[in-house]
Amino acid sequence: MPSSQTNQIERKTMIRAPRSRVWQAITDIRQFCQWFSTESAEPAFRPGAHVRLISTHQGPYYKMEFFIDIVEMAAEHTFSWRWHPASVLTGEDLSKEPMTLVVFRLEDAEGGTLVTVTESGFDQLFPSRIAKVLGENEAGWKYQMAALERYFSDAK
Amino acid sequence: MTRSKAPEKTSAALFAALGDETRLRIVLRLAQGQPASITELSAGGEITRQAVTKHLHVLEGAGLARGARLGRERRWSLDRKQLEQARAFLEGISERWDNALARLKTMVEESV
Repeated sequence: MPSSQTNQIERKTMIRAPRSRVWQAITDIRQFCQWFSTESAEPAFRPGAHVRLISTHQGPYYKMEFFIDIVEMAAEHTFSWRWHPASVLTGEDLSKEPMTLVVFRLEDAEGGTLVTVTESGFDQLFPSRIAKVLGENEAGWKYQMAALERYFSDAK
Repeated sequence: MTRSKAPEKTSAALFAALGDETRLRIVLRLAQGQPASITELSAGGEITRQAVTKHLHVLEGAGLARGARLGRERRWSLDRKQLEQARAFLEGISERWDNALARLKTMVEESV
């Protein structure tokens, strides 16, 4: 199955700080936990690690656990992991389910650092999971989705 | 009959169905609103009638398109409910990323 835009999410943000600082904020596990709203007993991220994280997000998922499998750490450039997206929402056994790939890319930009996050592999997810995640979140969804955006604008 | 399938049965097929350039093009064509025949969808000669038929059946299986007999021909149209479901799923994930990136930005910029 060729991967296509419809199976991938891409989000970007400009951060007014040097690349080294942004890299640290994303890959130092203590700093990561701060903005990702999680806590972890692990001392550090390293490629190949299976990292247990606990959500500190207030609400129904508070204190629920999930895991990320670190794939790549290329200094100040690429940080990636595989996981079961939004797995805290369902609390079911996902060990046999395919995972999506999350990739952070850092680039120098005018006045700071451009951070691009892509998440891909949604076509591989178990159908029941998609339906479940859908059902749990419908109310909060309002943002434009990059993948079908082009489709909807072309269709007009 | 694909229309009677539970939504959770077709969601994975939906993402797979959209992961193909030709099918995406057929979806775009159907999204223009008017139901189209296989002849119309293969017009331009880029795709054969057989290929169009095959792709339409994949789209039908994913609940993305449906055919209705009109005289001697079936005319195909888009089933938007399924597309909306796919969109909603990916929007939810996108929103979570937007929120996480906003928190990252705030944390880093406040510390510089």
